[in-house]
Amino acid sequence: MVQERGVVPRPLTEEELRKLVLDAMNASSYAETLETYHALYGHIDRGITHGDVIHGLEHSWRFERQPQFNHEHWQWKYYVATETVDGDAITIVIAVDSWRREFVVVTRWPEG
Amino acid sequence: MHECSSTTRQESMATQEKPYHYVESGLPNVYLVGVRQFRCECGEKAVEIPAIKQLMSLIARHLTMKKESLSGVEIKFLRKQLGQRAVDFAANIKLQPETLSRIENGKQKLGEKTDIYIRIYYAFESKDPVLMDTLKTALDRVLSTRRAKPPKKLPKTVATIDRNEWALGAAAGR
Repeated sequence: MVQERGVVPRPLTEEELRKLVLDAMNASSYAETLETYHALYGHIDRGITHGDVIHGLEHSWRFERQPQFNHEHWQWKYYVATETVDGDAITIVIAVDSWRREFVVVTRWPEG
Repeated sequence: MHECSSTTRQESMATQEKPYHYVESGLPNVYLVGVRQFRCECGEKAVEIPAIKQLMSLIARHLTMKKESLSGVEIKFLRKQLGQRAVDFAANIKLQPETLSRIENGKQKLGEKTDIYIRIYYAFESKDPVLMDTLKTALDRVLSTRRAKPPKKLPKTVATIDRNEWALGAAAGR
């Protein structure tokens, strides 16, 4: 969604992002899924599975860097530093689109 | 997820005829039907998976109850579902970490007893109510058969202590 003007919304805190993501992942009924954001899963680096992504998002994590705002798509992009089930570091990038009420999850091995 | 500047995307629904190959599950043979797929102009793809934890539990339940032996990747899936590191899982199912690694990588065959043990272990650890019910039903069946034929004379049950550890067994020469 392109929106060229407007006030940039404030980014979510770690706690708010955690709740948004976990609510969507944990939804257990159709009604619940209607109330949560839509969870979209994009690219995932080789050797990582969604089991690792769920584990990484459910357990303690921190922002790897400051969230970045994409003016072109009017989305905040969050970089989460966490671990796979086997304890390897991974970076989960979550782009939250509040207009579409969705977020996209991309998971990578850390750079460098 | 847009790393590019495109703003439009194509949407399609995964159908029975053209399901979504869910390789991100870690399993090579899982397909999803009814999920929305998106393709960005730049070629990047994403799939919408509602209630992903429910889906993963369902797959794990299916693996635990299937008739065929578990494969290496299926065991890895169950382990990840329990959130256990390989070394911890190996200890919990009484295997050497190297053995588990070979099994998960398909370089060693899984013994029948270990196969069953992993399923039961998963059922207990996951606390999946359906699996627990299945175990209970199986146990009830075994116990009810035994109850139907009570012995005329109850056999002795002997508890023996050895190095502060009790062991239970039937007495020799009843």
